[in-house]
Amino acid sequence: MRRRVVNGIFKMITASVWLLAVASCGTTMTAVRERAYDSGPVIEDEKIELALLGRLDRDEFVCAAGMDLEVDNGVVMLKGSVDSLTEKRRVFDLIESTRGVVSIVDHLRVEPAGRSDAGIKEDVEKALLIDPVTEDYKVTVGVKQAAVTLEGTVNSFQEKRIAERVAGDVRGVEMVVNRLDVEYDMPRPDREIREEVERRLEMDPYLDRGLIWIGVDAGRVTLKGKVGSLAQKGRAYYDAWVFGVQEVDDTGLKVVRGLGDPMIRKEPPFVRTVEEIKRAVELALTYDPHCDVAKVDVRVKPAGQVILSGSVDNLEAVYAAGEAAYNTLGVWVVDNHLKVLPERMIEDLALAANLKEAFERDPVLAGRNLHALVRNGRVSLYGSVDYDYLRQRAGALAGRIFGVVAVDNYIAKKGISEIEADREILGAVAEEIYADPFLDFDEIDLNVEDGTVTLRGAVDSRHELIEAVECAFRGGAREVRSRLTVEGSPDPYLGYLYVADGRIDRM
Amino acid sequence: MDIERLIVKTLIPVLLALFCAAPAAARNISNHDIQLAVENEFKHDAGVSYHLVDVRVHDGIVTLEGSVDNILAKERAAEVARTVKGVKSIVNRLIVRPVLRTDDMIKQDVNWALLYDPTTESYEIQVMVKDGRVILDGTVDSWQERNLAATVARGVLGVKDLENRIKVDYKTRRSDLEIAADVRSRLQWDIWVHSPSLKVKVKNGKVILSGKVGSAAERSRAHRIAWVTGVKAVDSGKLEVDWLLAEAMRRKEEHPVRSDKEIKQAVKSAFLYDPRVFSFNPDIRVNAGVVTLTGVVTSPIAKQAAEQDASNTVGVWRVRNHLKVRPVKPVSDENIRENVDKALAGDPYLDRREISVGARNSKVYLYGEVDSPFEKTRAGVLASKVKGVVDVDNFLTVKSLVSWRSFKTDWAIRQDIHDELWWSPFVDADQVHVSVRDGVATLTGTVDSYTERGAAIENAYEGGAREVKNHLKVENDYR
Repeated sequence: MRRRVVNGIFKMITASVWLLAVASCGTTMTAVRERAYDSGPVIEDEKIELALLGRLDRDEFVCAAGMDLEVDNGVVMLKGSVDSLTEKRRVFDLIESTRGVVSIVDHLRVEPAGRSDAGIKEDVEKALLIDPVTEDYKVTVGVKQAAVTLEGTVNSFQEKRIAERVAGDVRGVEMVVNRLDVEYDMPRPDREIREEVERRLEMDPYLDRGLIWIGVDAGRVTLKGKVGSLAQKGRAYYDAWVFGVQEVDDTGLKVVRGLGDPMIRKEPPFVRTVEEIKRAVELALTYDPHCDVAKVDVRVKPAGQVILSGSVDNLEAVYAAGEAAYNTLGVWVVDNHLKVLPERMIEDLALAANLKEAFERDPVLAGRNLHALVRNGRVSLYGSVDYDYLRQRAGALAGRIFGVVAVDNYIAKKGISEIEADREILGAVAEEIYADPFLDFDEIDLNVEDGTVTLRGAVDSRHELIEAVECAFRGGAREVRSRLTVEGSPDPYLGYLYVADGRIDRM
Repeated sequence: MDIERLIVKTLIPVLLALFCAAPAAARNISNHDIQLAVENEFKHDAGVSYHLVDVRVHDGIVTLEGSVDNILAKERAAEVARTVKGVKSIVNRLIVRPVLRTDDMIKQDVNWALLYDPTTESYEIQVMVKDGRVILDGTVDSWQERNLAATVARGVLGVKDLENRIKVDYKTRRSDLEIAADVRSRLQWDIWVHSPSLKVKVKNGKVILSGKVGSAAERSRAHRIAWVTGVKAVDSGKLEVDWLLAEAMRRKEEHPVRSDKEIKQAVKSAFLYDPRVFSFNPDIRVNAGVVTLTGVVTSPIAKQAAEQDASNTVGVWRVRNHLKVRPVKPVSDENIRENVDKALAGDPYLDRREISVGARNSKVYLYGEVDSPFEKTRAGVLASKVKGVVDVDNFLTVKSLVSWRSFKTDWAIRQDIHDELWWSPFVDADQVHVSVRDGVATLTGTVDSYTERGAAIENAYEGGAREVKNHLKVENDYR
């Protein structure tokens, strides 16, 4: 009982701090909603800079010490250096998903510990060979002064991108030049391409299709219109690369600098039919290079419950398929029953060796105290590390090795991380939510008690719910409790949840 | 905007109704539903390597294909599948791909395991091994003993297959009438078998079971129970699995009041058919459904088995286990430690775990880390079977699994618990109300028995609850 009172008082303080912090930007809730697509008052550069510094500083992965940034009219200029390309990508991810950032001027150098070009080349080739997506392709790898050049032919843009990622995740690589050609089996009429791009954008819950204009001419897709953040722009670009596309031009897609909430879909959450959802999920799976869509059975039950079953070639495909289903508008629950059945079995000993090598190749995991036990393709990971993201990364890496059918991650976190004062956490979480372009910040109310962050208010979708929980963890929460209501969800309690000592994986 | 909200508000109840109606109505179980439910059970069971097992379902008949790395896992897979509602029978085509070992090594270990098991040590069994296939030969006194010997042999690392040629030589002769009466009484007193339509016929020592049961698990249990003294064969092929009918019958079922005297007799008869227990002839006292066991047994395994047998008897509410463990002859602590080490290292589930063993005053202490509660329990059971051990303190810790991809809202957890309850043939899902807040599930309602309550709690954990608050009442529990 006493707790409750304290909680209540705390909440009142919280609410007022929160209002001061956020609403100082001058608009009331409804006003923001109605003027959603106006630019609204422009976010000051200073604010963006502070938000970015806070976010980079709090991120476990990024070491902000060697980095410098300036913001001018929403354009972020990055200078200085980081240790690896992996870290650089993380920095970019963070900046791109910050409200108000219009573009990035990249002067950020990657300065890894020196390695011989021959050593890097060997590692990149090996990494491409054990990845379930790239193992089929003949990719020629060239390395000159730590810059990797990839040449060859792949079947889709999505595959091209994965190859680049795999190469970039090798220790010592400073840069990847991706010269892979995308070659399709047959050309596609523009009309068909246009329709498919339209459908992809429409079913992407992070995008607002109504604000994007699509043009297709001789396989070249042009996107024009408005988006709310660089992250959204990146998504639209990626979605537009359907089969048959030769090029995507997104220069006409402008990032809105206003404080409004253009990222959030404003149309009422209308109900989609079971058939529509099924087709959308299947379409999403078609564009996931990990998955062979023919082997996945998609069933949809009323109220947006998707059941995936069948067997796929690799573990990453299981995760990717689940993610693809969740990233489809209208889907509330995914029951993932997919199993891994590799085309050829790889001996446990060989698999263990591949895993060990993969850890040593990784710029972040190399030299850590990790070990693995492999039994019938099932990997158990043991060891202890300092940060959550390292556990997560090790687990994800193991899942991306061909032949691995399951991963049990038993890696422990060393010691207990320092718990910030509730006031600090509150400030940080508020900042995270404010900076997050995917969230409607003035609809979320929070309080903190003993490191537990409780979220209240309303969000518009399941994705916003996840985003809000993530923000709370990024801000230093020990545990997160959600009392958020999700508009249009099939159950009033859909947004209620509790997460402790764990972050949600969204790779 | 108000109109939008209005639409949303009216839509929600409609959707809700759609959602809730589905599990409540007499749901038509499709083969695909069964397949997913079986796979789900495998995922929750650390004893089955679900990632290598393929499940196909046709007309309620489940075919298991793929491979597992030990013969125990193969059997466990079938056993788990039998507990899924709607499953009529299992075709087990799983291939066992064990760790490669020479036949000599396997033979040596099977012999050692039989000799060091407190129950089978006195049996005279010949062991042959060829290409990983174990053949057992010899003569024992009961079907249960014959079975137990096979179970012990299957637990040896490297065994691919087993052929049981052990013959049963009953010391007494019994008429078909006597056998039939015994089988009927045994079935009637077992808490896992509750089908009034079950019929027993005996012809020339062969027991024929017919009628309807609720699950494949119930049928296999009835089959095993029917092997009473004097039985030459049991045919349960005519026992039909019909979960709908069984559920309807169970609801109508009256709970007959059993007298303490009757209960005592039933427990005694249960001991008689458990080779781990019967030779010790524990003293049984029953008072208002509470069974008190006293006497002396030679191993912790016998003590546990006796308790289990008693609590599987209809009418028993609680078992007070005061059995004392006194080994036949004292074994040095050093010797005990060595043998526990050997038993753990030779087990197909635990052979790669680092478990340290301590022994003092005939009590075994286990330390270290294992991956699952299943492994922890198994280590405890293996240790308590070692000769000379009086008690086991299991200090093994279960490592926690980091599951990054799990993101379950209270709503999803509740749904999954509902599903788990519904698929379990041991629980009447309609009687259990589930609510979930912050990952903590609260169960309310009234169930028929403690076993049902236990099953419901397990289901709640399997559904994803991080904690379960149990407010379930048990019917007719007057204490």
